[in-house]
Amino acid sequence: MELKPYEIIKKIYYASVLANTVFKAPRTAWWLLKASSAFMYEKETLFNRSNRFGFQKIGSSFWTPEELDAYRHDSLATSRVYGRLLKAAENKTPVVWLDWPVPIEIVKGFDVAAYVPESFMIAANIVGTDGHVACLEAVERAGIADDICAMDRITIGAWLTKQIPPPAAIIAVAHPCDAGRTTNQILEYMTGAPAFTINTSYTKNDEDVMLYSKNLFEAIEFLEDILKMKFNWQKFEEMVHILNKHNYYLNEITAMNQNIPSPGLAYSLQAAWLSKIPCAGDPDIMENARKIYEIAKKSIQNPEHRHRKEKFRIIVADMPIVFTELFKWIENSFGGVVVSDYIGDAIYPEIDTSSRESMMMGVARDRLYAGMIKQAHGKASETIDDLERQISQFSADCVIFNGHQGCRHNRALSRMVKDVCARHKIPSLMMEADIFDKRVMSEEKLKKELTDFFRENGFA
Amino acid sequence: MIFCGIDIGSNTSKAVLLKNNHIISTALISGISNPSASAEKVFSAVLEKRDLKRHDISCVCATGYGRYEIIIADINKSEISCHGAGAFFSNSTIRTIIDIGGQDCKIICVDERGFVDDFVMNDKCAAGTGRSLEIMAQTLGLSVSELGYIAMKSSKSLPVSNKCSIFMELDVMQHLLNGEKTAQIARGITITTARRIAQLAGKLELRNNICISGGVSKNPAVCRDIQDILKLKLTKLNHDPQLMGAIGAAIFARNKEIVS
Amino acid sequence: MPILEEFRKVILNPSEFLSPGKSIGYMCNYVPEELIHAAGFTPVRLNAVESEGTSRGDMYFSTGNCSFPRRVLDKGLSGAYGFLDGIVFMNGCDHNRRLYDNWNYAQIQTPWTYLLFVPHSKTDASLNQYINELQKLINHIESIYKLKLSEQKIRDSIKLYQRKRNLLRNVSSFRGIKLSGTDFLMVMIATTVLPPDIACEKLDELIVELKNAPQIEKNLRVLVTGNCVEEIEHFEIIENIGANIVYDNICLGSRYFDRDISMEEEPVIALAEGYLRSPSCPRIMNDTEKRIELIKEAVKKYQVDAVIIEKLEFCSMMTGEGWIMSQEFRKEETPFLLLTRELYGGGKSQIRTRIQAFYEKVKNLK
Ligand code: SF4
Ligand code: SF4
Repeated sequence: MELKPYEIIKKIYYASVLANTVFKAPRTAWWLLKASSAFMYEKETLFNRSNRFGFQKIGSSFWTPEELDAYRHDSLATSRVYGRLLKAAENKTPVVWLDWPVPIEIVKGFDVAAYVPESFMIAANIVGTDGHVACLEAVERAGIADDICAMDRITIGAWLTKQIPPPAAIIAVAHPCDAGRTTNQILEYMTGAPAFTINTSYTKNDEDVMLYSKNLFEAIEFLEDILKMKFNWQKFEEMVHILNKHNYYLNEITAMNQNIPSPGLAYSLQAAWLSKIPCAGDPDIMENARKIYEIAKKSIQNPEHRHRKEKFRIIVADMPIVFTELFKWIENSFGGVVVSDYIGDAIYPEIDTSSRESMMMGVARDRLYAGMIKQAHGKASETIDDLERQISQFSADCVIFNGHQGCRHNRALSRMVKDVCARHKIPSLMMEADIFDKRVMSEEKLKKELTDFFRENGFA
Repeated sequence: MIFCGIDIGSNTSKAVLLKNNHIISTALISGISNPSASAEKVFSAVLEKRDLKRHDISCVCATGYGRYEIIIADINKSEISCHGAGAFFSNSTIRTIIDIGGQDCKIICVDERGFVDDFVMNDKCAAGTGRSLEIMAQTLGLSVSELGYIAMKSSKSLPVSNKCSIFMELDVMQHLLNGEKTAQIARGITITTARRIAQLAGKLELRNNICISGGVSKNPAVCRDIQDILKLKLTKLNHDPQLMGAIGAAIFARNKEIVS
Repeated sequence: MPILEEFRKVILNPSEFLSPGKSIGYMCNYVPEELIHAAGFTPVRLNAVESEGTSRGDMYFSTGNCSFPRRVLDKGLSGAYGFLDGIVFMNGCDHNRRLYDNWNYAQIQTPWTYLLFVPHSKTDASLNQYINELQKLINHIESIYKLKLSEQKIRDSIKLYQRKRNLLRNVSSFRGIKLSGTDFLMVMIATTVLPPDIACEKLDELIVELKNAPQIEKNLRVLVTGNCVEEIEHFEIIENIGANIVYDNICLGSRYFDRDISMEEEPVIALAEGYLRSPSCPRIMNDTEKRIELIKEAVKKYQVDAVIIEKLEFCSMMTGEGWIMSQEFRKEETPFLLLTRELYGGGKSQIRTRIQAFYEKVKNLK
C-alpha cells in the first residue's frame, strides 16, 4: 500500500467528524452499525479492508446507543487535534512534536498545533492494517534495523511517508524505554528540528517527581525561546482542573471494573488512554469519561440489564494488540471480559492546584501513572507489583501477554511474570505477536492461539 | 597461463578455469563434506574435463565459507568480492548483484572496474536465504524448484511472517492446517523472501544494471517478486548465475599473478 | 611483552588479584568508581569474559534480549562473581537495567545490590538529578559499612583514577604502532578489574616495555565503535584479516578513559559533571551529533582508513546511533561497516567474510 501525504491524519479527522455527527442520533447510528456489522466486523475482506478497523473501534452492535453518545465527545476532541494539525500543515504554522509521556499541557499552553507521534500511530489503523505495514516498510527501506519497538518504527515511517507536518520543535522524553530514546534521536536527525529532552523520574516519590517537573519548566522556557511566544498559564490551570475531573471518572470506571460482574462496557479503558494522551485538558474528553462513568454505574446497580454474560475475567498484561480489536472478539466468542490491561488501568492521583509548582508536579506525576510509563520506568517491581495488584483487585481468571516484540525491558521480565501468575494459580498465555505488525503474527493465528488457550484451560 | 577459482559454499562447491580471459572449464558438485575434501573433489573434476594436471594451473584462489581451510589454494578472497567480480565479468554493464546463497544473502555494488564499492549482507537469521526456502518447500512437501513454479501460477498470496524462519514455518504449517491452496502459500513464501531482500536493499543504493546470482536466482517466482517489490528490472547474466563466485575467484587468481 | 601475559592472567582469574571481601562490582560507565574506592573497596567492572553461554541467563531473560547482560547473568549464576561484596548496577539500557532485577530475582548470592539511576541527558536539570542520585549512592554505601565518605577520601580517589585514565590514554596512543587493538582491549578489561594502584603500576611497566618494543606490522587502520563489545576473540578476527585497530569509541575504551574530573570543585559535583558531561555513550540523548563529531575527529587524527560500527543484536540504542552514523559517514565518504552480531555468538565465518570483503572494498576505494 502506498500512503498519500497526510492521508492518515485526514482520515482520522474525517472519521471523527463523521462520528461526532452521526452519533448525535445514537439510536439510528446504532441500528446502522448493527446492520452493517456482519460484513464489517468478523473478518478482513477486500471490501472492508480499509475501513474495518475504524468500524471495529466504535464496534458494531457491541456498543450501546448510550456509549455511542458518550463517544461522540471523544470524537469531537480528536477532530479538534487533527483538524488543527491539518490546518497547520496547510498554512505552514508551527507544529510542536512531543513524545507521548510528555504532558501535552505544556505545549497546549502555546498557540500552536501539537502532534504526538505515538497516539497518531495507534490511530493510523484507520486506513486499514496495511497503513502500519506501509510505515514499517518505509523504515525498512531506509535501512533502519527492525529490532526496535514497532510503535516507534511506525512513528519514523509516518515521517518518511509524509504523514505529518514538519516540527518547529521537538520535546522528547528519555523514558520509558531505549526504543523511544533511539527513535527520538532518529527523528531529530531526520527533521533537523531543535529538540529538548526531558528526563523523567525513576520512581514515583515526591523528590523525584519534583526533579521531573523542573525539567518541564525548562522545556517551557525552551519552547518560549524557539516559538517566540509566551506560555499561557491561565489556560494551563484550566486544563489541570479539567484533568482532575477527567481522572476522577477514569479512576472510578477502573474501580468499577473490579466488580463481579464488571459493568461490561464496550468502551475500553485503553481507548481512554489513547485519547487522553493527545487531548488531555479538553472538556469533551472529560465529558466522554463522565458519560461512560454514568453508564458503568447504572450497569452495576442493575446487573440484570447487562446484555452479555461475563464468563471469565482476563488481564492483558501487555500493550493490547492494535491491528485487531481482540477484546471485543474474545467477549463475543467466549464471554471472557478483559477487566484490566497494561494501558487502560487508571489510578491517577489527584493534582494539588494550589500553585503553579504543585500543578506542574501534578501533571508530571499524572503521566508517570499513565499506562506503560507506570510500569516500564524504574525497577522491575513497578511492573510486577502492578500486575500482582491487578490480578488480585480484578479477580482475574487468566493473564495474557501478547509478547510485544520490540519491548525489551518487558521481555526481560518474562520469567518473573510467569511466576507471578503461577503464584496466583491462574493460567497465563505467552504469545510472540507484535502489537502493530500483523506480519509477525496474523490476526487469524492470534485468534487461534487464544482459542486453544481458552479451550485448554476450560474457559471455552 | 590458466587460473582456477574455487567456491566452497554451504550446499555446493564450484570451480572454474580461466585462460586468456575465457572460461575453459567449469564444475559443480553438491553434497556437504568438509571444505578441504570438497575443494579437492571439485578441483579434480574441473581439471579432468580438460585433461589438465595440477601443475598446469598458475594460481588457485579460494572463496566461499570454506576458503580458509583449503590447502590447494594460493590465495583467498571473500565471496563478496568474488561474486562482484564474477558477475561483472559475465556482463560488464552490471553494477549491482543480488546474491542469494544457501546460508546468506548479500547485495553487492561494483564500480566500473568490477571492484566492490559497497555491500550488505544479512545477519545471522536465515530468513530470505536459500536454506529457508528449502525448509519452507519441505514443509509444503515440494522441492525448491517446484515451489518456484507453483508460486508463479498464483496471483494471490497468503501472509507469511517475515520475522525469521521459525515464524515463517509456523505460518506455513498453519495455512496447511487451514486447508489453504498450496500455490497461494507458495506465493506467500516467495513474497516474504523478496521482502527480506528488499529490507536488506534499503541499506544501500542500488545502481543499474542489476542482476541476481546464487542458487535462488533459478527460482522464477522469487525473481519476479523481487522485481515487483523493489520496482526494478533484472538484467541477465551470460553465464550460469551459480558460478559467479568461482569465476570471480579465478579473476583474482589471475590478478594476483599479474600484480606479482 | 611479558607484562601482557600478566594482564591475561588477571582476565582469566580476577579474584586472585583482589583481596577477599574488599571488592564491589559495578556496571557500567556512569557509575563513578571513585565513590566505591573511597569507601575502601576495589571497584570491579562486570564483564562477560570467560562466560560459558547464556542458558542459565535465558531462564530469566528472553532470547529477545542483548547477549551481554544475558551472559553476565549467566556468569553470576555460575558463581563466578561470588567474590563480590556488593554490586552497583545502573540503568545503562533497558537490558542491563533488567540485569539488576534479574540478578536479585535469581537470588545470586551477592550481599547487596544497588541500582543507580543516571539521567539520559546533559541538561542542568539532569545534572542536578545525577548529583542527587550520587548522593543517594553515597548514603547507601555509608549506611551499609557504617562509615563516612569524607571529601578528602573522595578527592584522593579521584586523583588516583585520573592518573589511571591518563596512563590508559598514554597506552592507547601506542595502538597501531607498537600495540594491537586486541591487546589494548585486554589491558582495558584487566585494568577495570584490578585495584587501581596495582593497575597504575602495571600500566607504568607496560609503557616502559612499549617504548622498547618493536613496531607492529602496518595494515589497514580501523576505528571500532559500538557499545558493550568486549570480545577479545572478535577483535582478533578484525585485526588478523589485515587491520590494526588504532582507536576506538566503545565503553571499554576511549569512552572510559577520555574523561577528566576537576580537582577544584566539591568532589561529588565534580564527579557528576565529569561523568555526565564527558564524551557520552548513546544512552545520552541530544548528544549524537557531538559523539559523531568526536569520531570524525579521531578519524582524521589517527588517519583511520575505515570505521567498523558494532551493534549487538537487540541493542536499540545502537539501532539509531548506528543508522545516523552510517548516514554521516556516507556523506563524508568514510568507509564503514555496520556489523550486527551477538557477543560470543559464533557465526565466525560469516563475520570473517563481511570483514574481509569490507577490507577488500576499502582497498579498492583507495
Ligand atoms: S511498548 Fe515497550 S518498547 Fe514500545 S514504546 Fe512501549 S515501553 Fe517502549
Ligand atoms: S550492547 Fe547495547 S543493549 Fe547490550 S548491554 Fe550494551 S548498551 Fe545494552
